[in-house]
Amino acid sequence: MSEEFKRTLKRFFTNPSALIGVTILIFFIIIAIFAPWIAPPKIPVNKNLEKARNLLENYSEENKYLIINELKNFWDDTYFFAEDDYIELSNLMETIAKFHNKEVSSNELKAHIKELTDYYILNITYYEKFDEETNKVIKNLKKEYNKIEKKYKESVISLNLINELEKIDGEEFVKQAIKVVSRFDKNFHEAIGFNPYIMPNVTTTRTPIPPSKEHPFGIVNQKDIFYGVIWGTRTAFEIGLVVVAISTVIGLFIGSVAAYFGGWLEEVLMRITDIFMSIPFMLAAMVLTTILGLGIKNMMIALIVFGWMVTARLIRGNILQAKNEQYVMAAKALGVSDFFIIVKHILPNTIFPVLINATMRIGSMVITAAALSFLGLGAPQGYADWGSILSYSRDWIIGGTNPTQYWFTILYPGIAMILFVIGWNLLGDALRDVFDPRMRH
Amino acid sequence: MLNNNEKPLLKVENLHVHFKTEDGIIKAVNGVSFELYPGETLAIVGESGSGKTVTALSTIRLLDENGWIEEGKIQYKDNDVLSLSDNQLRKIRGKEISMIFQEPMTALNPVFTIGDQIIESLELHLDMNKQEARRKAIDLLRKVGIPEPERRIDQYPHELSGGMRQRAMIAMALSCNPSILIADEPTTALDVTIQAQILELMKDLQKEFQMSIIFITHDLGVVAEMADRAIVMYGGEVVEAADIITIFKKPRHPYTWGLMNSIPRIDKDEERLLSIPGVVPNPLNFPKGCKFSNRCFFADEKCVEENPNLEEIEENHFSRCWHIDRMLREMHKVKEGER
Amino acid sequence: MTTYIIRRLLLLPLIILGVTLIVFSMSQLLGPLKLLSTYVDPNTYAKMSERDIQILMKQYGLTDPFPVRYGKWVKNLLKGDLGWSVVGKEPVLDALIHRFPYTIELALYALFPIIGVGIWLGVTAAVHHNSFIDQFIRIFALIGWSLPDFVWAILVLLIFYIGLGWFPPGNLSIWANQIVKSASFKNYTHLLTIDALLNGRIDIFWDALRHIIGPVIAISWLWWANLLRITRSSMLEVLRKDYVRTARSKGLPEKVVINKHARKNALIPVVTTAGQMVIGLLTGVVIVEMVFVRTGLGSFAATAAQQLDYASIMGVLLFTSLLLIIGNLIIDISYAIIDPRIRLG
Ligand SMILES: Nc1ncnc2c1ncn2[C@@H]1O[C@H](COP(=O)(O)OP(=O)(O)O)[C@@H](O)[C@H]1O
Ligand SMILES: [Mg+2]
Repeated sequence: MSEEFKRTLKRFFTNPSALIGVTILIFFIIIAIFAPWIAPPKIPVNKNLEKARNLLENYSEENKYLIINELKNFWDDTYFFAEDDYIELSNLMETIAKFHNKEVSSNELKAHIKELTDYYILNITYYEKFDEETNKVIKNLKKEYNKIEKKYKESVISLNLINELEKIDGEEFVKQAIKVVSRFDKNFHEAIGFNPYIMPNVTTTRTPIPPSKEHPFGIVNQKDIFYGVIWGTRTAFEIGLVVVAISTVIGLFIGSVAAYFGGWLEEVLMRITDIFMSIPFMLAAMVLTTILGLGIKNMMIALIVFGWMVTARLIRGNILQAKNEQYVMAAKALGVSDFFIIVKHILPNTIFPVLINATMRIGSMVITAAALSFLGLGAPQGYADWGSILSYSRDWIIGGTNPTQYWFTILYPGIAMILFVIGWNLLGDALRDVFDPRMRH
Repeated sequence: MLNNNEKPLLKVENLHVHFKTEDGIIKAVNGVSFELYPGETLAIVGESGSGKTVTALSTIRLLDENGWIEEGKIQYKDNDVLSLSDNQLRKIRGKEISMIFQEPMTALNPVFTIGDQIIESLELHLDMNKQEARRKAIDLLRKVGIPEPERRIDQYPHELSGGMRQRAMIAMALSCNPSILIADEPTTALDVTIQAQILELMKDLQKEFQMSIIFITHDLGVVAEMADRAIVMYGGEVVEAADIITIFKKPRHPYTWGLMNSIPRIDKDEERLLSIPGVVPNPLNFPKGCKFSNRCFFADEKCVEENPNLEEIEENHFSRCWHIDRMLREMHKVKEGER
Repeated sequence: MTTYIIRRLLLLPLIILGVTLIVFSMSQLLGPLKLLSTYVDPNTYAKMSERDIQILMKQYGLTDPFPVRYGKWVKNLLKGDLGWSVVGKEPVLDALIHRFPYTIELALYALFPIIGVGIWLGVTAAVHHNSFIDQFIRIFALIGWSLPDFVWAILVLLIFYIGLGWFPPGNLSIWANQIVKSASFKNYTHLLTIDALLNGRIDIFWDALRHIIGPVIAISWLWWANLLRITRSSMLEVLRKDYVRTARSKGLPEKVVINKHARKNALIPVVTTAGQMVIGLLTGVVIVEMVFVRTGLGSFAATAAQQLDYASIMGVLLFTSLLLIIGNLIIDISYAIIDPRIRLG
């Protein structure tokens, strides 16, 4: 076994495809890991917190109250209305409950909503859309309430934390204060909805701007392409790995249950597999994403739901074949335990083809996901995703005048995408060659 | 029979064949020489992996693409086979020298009828038209003992039994009246009764077609019935060569003797007296000296260090062993014991 | 063999039923309100009260239990009623039927170059195993396989339309479109190029052809890659077979050995791929039709999805699934017929 393993490793590491593939993938992994350093997101800072942090760095006793002051200012800016909002929305919830019990008419409820929108507690659309989509509005109001409840609770906790800080001094104070500041930082990001995966707008003109020193890959639709390509690496890995891993596990489960139990269960499972296979993959993923609603997560669900069948068939076929191999029969005849047979003989001969297949699917999965984003059905607007950037590019290249001047909008994300897929495909190809029993003499 | 006055039909001299693999270069055949005379049957005997097939394939340069003839000379009639052009070579393949293989199932093309496959040769080498060729093919099928040849000719290989397939294969090989038939373990894949029939058929056909046969087998038992002379191969080398009676009566190499003792003997209880221990090693791991030394009953340090030459120990009897004397003593002991 | 075909035919209704069940279940994820929009124009009930909407939903059976809803839906399906297509402004079935010929035509034009060149490349690579030619073809395949179709399609458009001005997007030029839409132009097959010839309009034929070549180039690379990989590995495997050695031992010229003995065997698994390719082309042209702004099933599906036209996307999905099922059946049966081992076994 170990001798064989060594030879396999040797074969792998002398295979040029494997080496190139692995190099490319390592390159992308490094980019994905160091994305925050390679393309630092513009993390918004709160002035009060920034000041507090500076004061903490050169801490002296007299600064203590300055710091507390900054924190209190931050608290005021962020949470001043939290309690009132919470109370107002609680009242609204009561009205809604009454509305459901038919104690309150829809016009009265509408009037109550109007009150809140007049105070700018709620967005005006709740009032405007109320007649059209009452149910949806009510559902969203409940979500709004939950959000505010959470914010209110956080405001109470935050205030407590500040009060606690006032009571302590010296080293202990610095230690606690640093913790509090970073907690507030997070709250701040949450409050303004900061997400590094959303590409920030860097210009005001929509026309693409060619590469420059600050924006080495150029700008398209106000987004920095370099930022999108770097952070898009994470998106690509996430989509490819998660989708393929989950769908492979599902396929493994269904296929091995079918092969292990046989009989009617196998028949049913394999017919279900057939049925899923009878639906064209790309269209099915497109339709399911549309139904679930756009977004990366929904797209991944759709790709998983229609992506497990090949694995199921493969593993079932392999297990059935392995069961009939001579060495397995011989082992059985010798009274070797089932568990041992499965681990020692069946698994190695069945799991490798599945893993190889999974590797090979990652590339095409990423392409399909990008294609969906390209059609505007996957990643949301502005999400750092290669397919999305390429769809911006399409508008300029197909629709624009003199499109060759926008070459950079397709070149960089396109190259990233192709290299990424080539990396996985080379790796998959090499693995297949290395493990293919026919290649052994 | 053996007739040294005649010119040999096929002469192989000092043949070396190598294969390139990812583990290194495999030296599959190392200095094999033999001659084949008109009308005789030469057996090449040895365990699986000893280089018999590679030797045979080399005679018509049919090696796999990773193999090549490193050194040697192959002479067929007046042709230097190794310097023939591909075109000239093709005129020899199938017409002058034809082959039959071990697995009749895989050696016949599954998507063509056996008729197609025989007729193809006839059209190619004998310039026959379709109808003539078809008539001839039916004739051939009848000759090799296939019943209802008119019907069988249009069947696909998988519709025939193993024995029938091998007969069809023989018909195909004999279609152009070759002077040499190379039969590479033609009966190994068949049951014993069918085996006997096929061997019988080959003997009959040899007389009728007046051809020479190179008969490759790992089974010495078959050799006794078929061959006039035998060469015994191990590790890509000839270890013993002689006429068939000598080989059986006076084996002078421990490997030959071992092979003989592997023949099931119905008259004895102990089936395998002194059969060979172990298996043929991976060709990359042969011992430095005598290749057989790690499995040989009589081997000593000298054997491990140095490979003996193939010596003519008596007229037309060759052997490659340092310790023929030790072996003779042991053979005597065994004979004593039998009495 | 016959039992195999009979089994396949018996399973057919089951598979179709399963597909309808999946598609229906997917649609039910929408929730009743969105589903209502697939029956009624949302503007008509926008101002209705909650209660009236409930009544409307009841009318359309949206409040029934799942099996009842499914039953009704299947009954409508059987009548050919797939709902109203907002994007197509006609019933979904009509929208599908009107767009299908465009996709068929594109697939047909793509098919021949793909199969011809793909198999040729695969065989060539295998015959020259490990040589420079083989490496070159393998790299060609790797790139084709890894190149996202939308990137390649845009590049084709950039090179052949914007750069060279040869192959414009769309189905027809404006002047040709006017003639085709006019009463004097008869639609025999609904395939533009063929109808143009039948109407004796060589100019329109050329125009339609010019518009189809770009998409064909955009589709081909990926499929070449797929086909040539399969052909190559199948051919390599066959070339190691004993019967190829037998053929050589008979003195057959290398050309005959490869083209007759090896290729016929090697192509048996390729047939399945080629068959799947036809179906794949019919269902996988979404991107190319979108980039080249062509009418067809793919662009219909994508536009419908973008505009949340649920009835239309469900319709496309059902329709293409049916194509896939029937196509696969035909492939399996013809596979059985080509290979004598299965045919007679
Ligand atoms: N195509 C090949 N590549 C590598 N090694 C080969 C090839 N063909 C034969 N060999 C090696 O050559 C040796 C002799 O093989 P062969 O002539 O087939 O033996 P035999 O016919 O006596 O059983 C074996 O060790 C085998 O592994
Ligand atoms: Mg052999």
